[in-house]
Amino acid sequence: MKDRDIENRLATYVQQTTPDVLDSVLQQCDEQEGRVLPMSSIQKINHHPKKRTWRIALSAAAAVFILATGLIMGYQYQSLHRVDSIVEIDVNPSIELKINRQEKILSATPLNTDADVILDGMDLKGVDLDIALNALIGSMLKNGYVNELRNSVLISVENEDEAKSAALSQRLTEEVNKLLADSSIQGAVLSQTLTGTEDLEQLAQTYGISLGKAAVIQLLVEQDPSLTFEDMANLSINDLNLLLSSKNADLNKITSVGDASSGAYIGEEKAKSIAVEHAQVSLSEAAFQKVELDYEDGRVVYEVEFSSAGTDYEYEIDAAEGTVLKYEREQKRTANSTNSSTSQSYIGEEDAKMKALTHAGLSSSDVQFVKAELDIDDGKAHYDVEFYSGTTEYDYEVDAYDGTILKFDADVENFTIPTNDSSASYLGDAKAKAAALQHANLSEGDVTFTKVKLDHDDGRMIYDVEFYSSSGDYEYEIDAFSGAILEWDCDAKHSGQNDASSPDYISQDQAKSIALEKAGLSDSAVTFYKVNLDYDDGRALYELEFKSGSMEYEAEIDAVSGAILDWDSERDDD
Amino acid sequence: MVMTSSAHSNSSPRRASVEEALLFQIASGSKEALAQLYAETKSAVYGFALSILKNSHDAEDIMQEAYIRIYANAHTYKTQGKPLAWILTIVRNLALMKLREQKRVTTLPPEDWEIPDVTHGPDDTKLLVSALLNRLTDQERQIVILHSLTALKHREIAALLDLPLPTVLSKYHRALEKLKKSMKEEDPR
Repeated sequence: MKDRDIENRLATYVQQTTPDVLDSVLQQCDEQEGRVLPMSSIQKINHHPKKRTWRIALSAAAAVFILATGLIMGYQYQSLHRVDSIVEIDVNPSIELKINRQEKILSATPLNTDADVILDGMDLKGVDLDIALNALIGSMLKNGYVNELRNSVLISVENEDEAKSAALSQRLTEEVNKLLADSSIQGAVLSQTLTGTEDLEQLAQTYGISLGKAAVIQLLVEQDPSLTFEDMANLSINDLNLLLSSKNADLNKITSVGDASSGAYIGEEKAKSIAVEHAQVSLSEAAFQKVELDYEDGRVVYEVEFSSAGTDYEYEIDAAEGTVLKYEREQKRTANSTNSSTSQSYIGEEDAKMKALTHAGLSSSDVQFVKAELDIDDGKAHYDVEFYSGTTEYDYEVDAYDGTILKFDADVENFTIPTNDSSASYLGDAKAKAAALQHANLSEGDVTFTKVKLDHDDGRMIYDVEFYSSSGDYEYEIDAFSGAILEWDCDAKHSGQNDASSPDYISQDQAKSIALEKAGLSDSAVTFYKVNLDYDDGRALYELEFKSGSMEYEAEIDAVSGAILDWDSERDDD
Repeated sequence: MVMTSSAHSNSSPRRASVEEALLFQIASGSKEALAQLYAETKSAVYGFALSILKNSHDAEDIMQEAYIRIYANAHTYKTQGKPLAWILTIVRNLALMKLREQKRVTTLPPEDWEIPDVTHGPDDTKLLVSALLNRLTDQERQIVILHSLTALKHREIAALLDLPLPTVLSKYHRALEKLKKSMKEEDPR
């Protein structure tokens, strides 16, 4: 069961069992009307709560009366204090302003920690909206949230009157642009009006962002499903604005004035030149299909796609630092232009399988096919062939006309990569495994390999080697040429493969009695909730939890030495 | 109408602004606003009182008292964007007062939370609630209830309970582990 499920069920339970005391509350408020409510009167109410039953009978009529008088008396006050519009200003600081009909601020609420900085020491209550806006933008400029590199501001207006919202949002857009221009900044203002926001509220709440920002993100995510709401929630309005324009997103209800500054990033031209340089292709020979700002794995990147001399390249380049994060190259089918023009028949699935097997150096009895199907990609027909041999997975794309291998991927043992000239110098899986074992000081018989894979990482070729032994889980990254250990990680976690605890360990009962001795309690005085053998930081330990009366205890005991590693006791009724 | 009402009580910025607006109106004597605020927050108020008092009758009494106090004291509420925290502070103070009072008067066995039956929902909800009562410390229970029933952040819960943030985080995670574990133990599936 997930945390969220637990919480939902608890919430549902409480919601279902919450008693209804409203009538009684209204009744008693009425009794107190016009009087200051001293503490003693609260105590008094408390002394006869059982009178509730008859009060409820009375209260329905009373409540109607109270509501009527309350509304009349409250009117004067409400016209001044009633929220007429809600205005949200997002940069990265997100601030919500509630204004009355006279456009005076009723409240200014910071919606994130950056906004705390902006609002710090500012009392905007009762201030005109225009003046407040001036103060807020001024503070954002002063604190560096808006500058030449990040010039985007989002204005969201909510009012029941759509026309009024639109007019207000347009006016505020102009105002913000003017304020930025006064500071010699070419602003980029996104503005929108918000209505019918139930779904958005949920999202805004989940990610702790403003409703306006949630609306923008929703629009982005709808148009590019590869983006996640969660990732986008962390971006500033300027980044979101850049993504909107780079993806040529349909802005729908959002009005955009000015261009978001990409000054914080290297720019598309620079991204292109970094990519071609890395590919050792000259800029003039590259035909670019795509240069787009995108968001991947927690960072803003440029996606660059181009082709040159029959090869397709795909690059992902860190937009801020210009480093190549990922790249891929794919040889186009060279005979494509001559062959595909004629209506040539496909080679068939069986033949495609055979081609892949031959390439992999296997026979059909060695493998288990997962998939062999015709696929058309970019107008070219090929077979996707996938099969397993032992624990190794092979993934092939075979040309549907002439059976050439277009692309392959494998988690392979004793595999050398042909076609690529540098392949001969790769270590091979066996040597990679040996290097890892040697480093871990283990022999092949001690371990079970879960992964040995040749991989690209940060622009170089490595072997990912993963295995476990009775002592823990190991992960290695090994240079594919030199065999040098680049990175390793040993997590002495219980791998689940050897459930029987080692005879070297003290027993659960021994662990219990060590804990009891420490607590000064006898077995009969306590209830154990948990006695678990666990592995933490490379050592085996028992985790115990128990309770005696109102005291709760938690202990971690070394499973070998019996030493108490961690001890915590807590009174339950604090 | 800018203000909408919903069955859930939470503290999203949007909801907070609604609750805040309601408090302004309550300050001017609007019982309609009080009724709306009640609808928005009743489960959080009751659940939090219950998590402190562990007794549904006492929690109901505190719930009543809390809304009466809110009505009488709404004019003292200062705009901080945290109306729910303000409301729950009232609940907490009243509940703690009640506990002290009980300790003076009687020495009742401390844990006699009657678990009202639920007609809807999975059968083992009762197990979960009983684990909430029996396996968690008071603070763990309060943290889990607040986190489940409101959208208060851990930071806000820490402020409300006068605890350091790391304590709240570790207690929260530990509490959920305990609840999950107890569900697993009871339900071998």
